Amino acid sequence: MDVSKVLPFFRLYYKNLNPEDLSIPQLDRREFALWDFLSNNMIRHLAFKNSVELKEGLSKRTPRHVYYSVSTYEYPFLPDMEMKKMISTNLVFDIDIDHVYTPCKEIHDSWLCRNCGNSGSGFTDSCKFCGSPSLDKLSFVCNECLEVAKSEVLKLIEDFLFADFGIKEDEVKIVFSGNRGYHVHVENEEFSNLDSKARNMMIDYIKGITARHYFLDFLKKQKYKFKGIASSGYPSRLAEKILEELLAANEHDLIKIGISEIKVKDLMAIKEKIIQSLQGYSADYGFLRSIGSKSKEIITKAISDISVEIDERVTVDNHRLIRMPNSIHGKTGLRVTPLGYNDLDNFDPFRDSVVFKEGYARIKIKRKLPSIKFFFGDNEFFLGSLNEAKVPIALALYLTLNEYADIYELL
Amino acid sequence: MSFDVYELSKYPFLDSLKDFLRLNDFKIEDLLKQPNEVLNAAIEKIKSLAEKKSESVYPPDIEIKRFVLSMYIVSHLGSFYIERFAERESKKLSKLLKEEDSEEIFKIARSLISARIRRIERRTKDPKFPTLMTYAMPIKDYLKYAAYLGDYNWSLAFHEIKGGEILLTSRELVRILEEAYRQWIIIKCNEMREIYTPEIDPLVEHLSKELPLFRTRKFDEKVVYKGVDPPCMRILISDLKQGKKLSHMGNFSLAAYLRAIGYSVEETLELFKNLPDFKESVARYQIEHIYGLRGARKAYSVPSCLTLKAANLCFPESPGCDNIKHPLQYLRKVKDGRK
Repeated sequence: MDVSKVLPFFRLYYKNLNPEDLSIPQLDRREFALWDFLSNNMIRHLAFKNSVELKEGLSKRTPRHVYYSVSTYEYPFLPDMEMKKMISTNLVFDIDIDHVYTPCKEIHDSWLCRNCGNSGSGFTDSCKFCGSPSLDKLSFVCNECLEVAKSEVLKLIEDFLFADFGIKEDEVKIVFSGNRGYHVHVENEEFSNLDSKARNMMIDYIKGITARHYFLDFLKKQKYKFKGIASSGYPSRLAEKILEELLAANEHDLIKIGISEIKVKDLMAIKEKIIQSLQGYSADYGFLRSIGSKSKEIITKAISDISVEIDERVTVDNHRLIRMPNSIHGKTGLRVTPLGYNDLDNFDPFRDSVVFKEGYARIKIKRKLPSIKFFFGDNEFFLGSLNEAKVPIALALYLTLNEYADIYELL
Repeated sequence: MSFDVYELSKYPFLDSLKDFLRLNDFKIEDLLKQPNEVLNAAIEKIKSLAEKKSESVYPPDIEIKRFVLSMYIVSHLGSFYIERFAERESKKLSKLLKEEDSEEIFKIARSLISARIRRIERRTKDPKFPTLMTYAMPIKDYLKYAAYLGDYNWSLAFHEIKGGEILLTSRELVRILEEAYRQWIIIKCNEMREIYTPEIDPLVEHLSKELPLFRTRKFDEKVVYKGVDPPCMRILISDLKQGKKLSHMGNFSLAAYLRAIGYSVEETLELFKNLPDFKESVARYQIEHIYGLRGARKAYSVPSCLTLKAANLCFPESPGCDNIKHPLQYLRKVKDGRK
């Protein structure tokens, strides 16, 4: 990448940035880290008194990436983590589309197994041939990917943070990370004081890890009495999800997923009774007995549907650095965009996070792009035919910073 | 100002403790200066803890004073002593609460954990017990304590949760209170550690000599942390070295892990001697069982990441934890240089 072609855009952005857009709570207690464009090094343990000083620092250094600590410290500028003296740690959730299954990945993602050399397309954690988790992955973030990420954010906020944990709307700040997903910051002092073990427990709940493991274990042990929809929390949502699936399915659908015709008939005969039971406070899942091994699939899918894939390390690690809102993501040129809960529905990251709107550039493709339509800015592009094309500067920066292309002429 | 001294002697964390101490002109330095009934009672309490004997019972006012003085002495004996003291006192609380009615449990819970805890009476289908008392606890408080209980039953997924509250049965609340009290004692002891009176030095020196069991154990070179443990095991070892209590699953997982990385029964036992509730005969039996030397003669394997997650023991802080299903895979990754 020719840094001289991209650096001026970042410089201009930070020069014109309004300090009011850098209003980070307890800014003077945070550690800041900047990723230097030229040396490709992270400069850590920086501290600023206020947003004006921070803006000046950014303007002077023109970083590629800007991060700040999720924790506040007595001495944020000291290099030793112990000596910094931690005060508290914000509760932050990270939804990264890399960790979430989306059907579009079949089209634009591929992997190569380092163990057996086989390759494939789509979303996977391990080689589909030898099972090795050691994979080299090529992935692209398309419009659909970020729509899925958005729906995961809504699930996290509405079902877990608001409904279960009682967190208020004004305590939740959503930030589009500028690339693959969203960060959800909870600004609530009591949650900020929770230690790693307590946070781990929240993560387990949100990701449905224990639920998946033990509900399946209960089925194996033929325990079928759980709480139903009239209860609350996870058991209620699980019953609701299963009821939803059941109501939507007809005999044909059930046969199609592999349940025998006789079993489907039996099931349909008691459908009303099942619905009634699931809607109650105590639900009887005994009907799953009759569908045998398929019950495992049904429960697994229902739990996946009601859980949220979050990156647990971001929430648990209290020394974590996170991208600063209103900085530029150095791998996309998009703005790390803060949003309110009510803004999320209409937010389109590839339209609303575009910063550099004036001008065009001619690009040369150096790494194969997926052959898909891509909505970026206010236009639609076909990624397979962009070589030597004149494109808006924001898209040119997006592809250049992402190492897909090189800008060879600014127009 | 009025308070029930008998009640305070049973539950010395109640808000009235401060008033009691003030009214009785309670001063630690005065009590430490020369032998007196409270000091003797406090020493007896600490010795009984070391010798695992039951303690004598004193009149309520002495009982309260000796509790506070024992906490002060224990806090200066170090974290091993604090953990053991907290362990025993919290177990005592649990026993006492099991005898109490819901009114008293509710009162204790509001005092020790949060005034926001609510009581909810629920109707049941059982004609013998038409109502059931449940408790709604702020989830933030629940997380603080349940996270240390290490059993899947405490997982949020198996409870009713709504609007920031979690519903608990009376039995569950008592177990949470036990843990809350354990943490309360540890916090108070750590605060007391910062208060220095010269009179404490000779007493600590004397007690350290007299109570050999309480001496800080030096780790044998062979059982020193090797630097390649997965984060889950690293945390368990670190907690153990600090004399902290581990959950049942924590004990089991660590023993199985130590076996897997080549520790002998004796080496593992030596490490476990730091547990505040350590009983050599019991621990040896359990470790030998895990090592496959007893019972079915089959060694237990280290639990998978999933099981450890369910027990809230998984802390995937290192990239070495990516894409692994078992803690021992972490070691293999480290050896392969792919951490």
